Amino acid sequence: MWRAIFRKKLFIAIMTAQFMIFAFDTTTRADDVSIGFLYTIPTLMGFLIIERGLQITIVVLSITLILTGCFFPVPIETDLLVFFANRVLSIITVLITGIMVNYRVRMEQTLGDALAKERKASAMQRAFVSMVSHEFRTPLTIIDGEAYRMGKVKQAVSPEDLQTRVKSIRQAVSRMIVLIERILYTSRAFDNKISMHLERVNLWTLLKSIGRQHSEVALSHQIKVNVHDLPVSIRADRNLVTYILDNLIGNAIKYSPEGSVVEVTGQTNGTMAVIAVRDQGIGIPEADLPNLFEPYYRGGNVAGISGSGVGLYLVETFVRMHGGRILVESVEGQGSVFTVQMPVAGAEPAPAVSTGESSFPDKQ
Amino acid sequence: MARILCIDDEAAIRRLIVEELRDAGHEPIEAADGETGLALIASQRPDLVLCDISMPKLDGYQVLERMRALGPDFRLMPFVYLSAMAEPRQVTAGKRLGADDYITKPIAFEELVATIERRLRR
Repeated sequence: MWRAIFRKKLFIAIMTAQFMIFAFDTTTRADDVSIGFLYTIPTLMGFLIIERGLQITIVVLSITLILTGCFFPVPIETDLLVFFANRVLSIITVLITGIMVNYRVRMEQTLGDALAKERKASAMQRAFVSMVSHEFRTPLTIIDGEAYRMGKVKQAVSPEDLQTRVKSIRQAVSRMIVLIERILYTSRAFDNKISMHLERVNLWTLLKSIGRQHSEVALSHQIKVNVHDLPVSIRADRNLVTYILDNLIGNAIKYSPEGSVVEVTGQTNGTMAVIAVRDQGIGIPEADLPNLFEPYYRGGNVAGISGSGVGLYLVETFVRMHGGRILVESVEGQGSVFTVQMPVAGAEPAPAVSTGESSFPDKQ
Repeated sequence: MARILCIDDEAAIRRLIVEELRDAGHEPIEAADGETGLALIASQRPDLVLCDISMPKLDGYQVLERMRALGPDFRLMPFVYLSAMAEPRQVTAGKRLGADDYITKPIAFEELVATIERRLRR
């Protein structure tokens, strides 16, 4: 990368120098047509590479130089007509070719960008279909299996047995509902159609209750929630904030071994509430960190751990909607820390923020 | 009666399969991840292995590969995949790796035992 930048800088320097010499030459030695054109080709090649602003600067500078040259005494032996014709011709050639090349380069860039975008979209579409197919099959297997087994029993079923099966079915159903919600919200997030309803949200109560809910399910994890340095409440959308915290704590549990500690701490940093979720889990490979919040992107080390690939995408989107930001620190094999910073006073009023009913449904 | 090892990380699915196999008169043993599964294959020498693919620690592909490498006794041990990865290319990949059968989830429970017993008769 550095080499590429260096090469580009060097090229711009050489090119600028050439253009200046060209301009100067056409000014002072206008009788020699060939010298003027000698510089045209490398100059034009340079035009391919540099930014538009610089191109304009160089052209303006050169034209100024050439026009200034007009006020200098013309060499006596020069035919005045040849002198001006050469000058004008050179300028026109440079300008027209420059514009054409520029146009072509820009067209190619636009086409390339559109193609890359299209490719990315279709890759995402494939990832989505594959994820949906896979993630729905497991809960369906459980529901169908329980129904099949219950249809098969010949003697009376014990209440305990029935309870186990009902619980198993309901868990599978709620797994599917969570998935459907995420899919819906991902598609709405793509279209920027998620609305926020800002209100006072008691962070202490919310964090404690989310922590407790997870503790009840993840019996083998130790979940520590320390809220005392957090502002008691912030202005935010209750459902979106719940989603953010629930997802981060859920991930911390999902990606860390049984018996490990998940720690939620908070502090107040100026006008920001800062919440950190720390785990001792599998961590995130360094190569995956830049893409972590892309929809359907999953780390390279999550094989065998089920997931929709949109959880963190939604978290990041929701945090951003609140005018906050999210940071990740992670060492593969040692654990991750997700830090969310949210303005205590709520998001800056933005056109995308509607005051209507929050569109994110309550979690069951 | 056959001893059948079921490797799956979903406890609910494991329970269903174990119930079904027990009903059919077999002796099921279970493992919740690939590592434990492989250890049980070596120590218990089941008559057939039912194995999920997407699992933490050791996935189903690795289990099959390592099982076949355990020794001559394990080269012909019937091995059936039971997976939510149901795309045709995934099924082909599983069979190419040397699985005797590939059952996709949701499982057709009516056929599960039939498939297993057909495989055991050979």
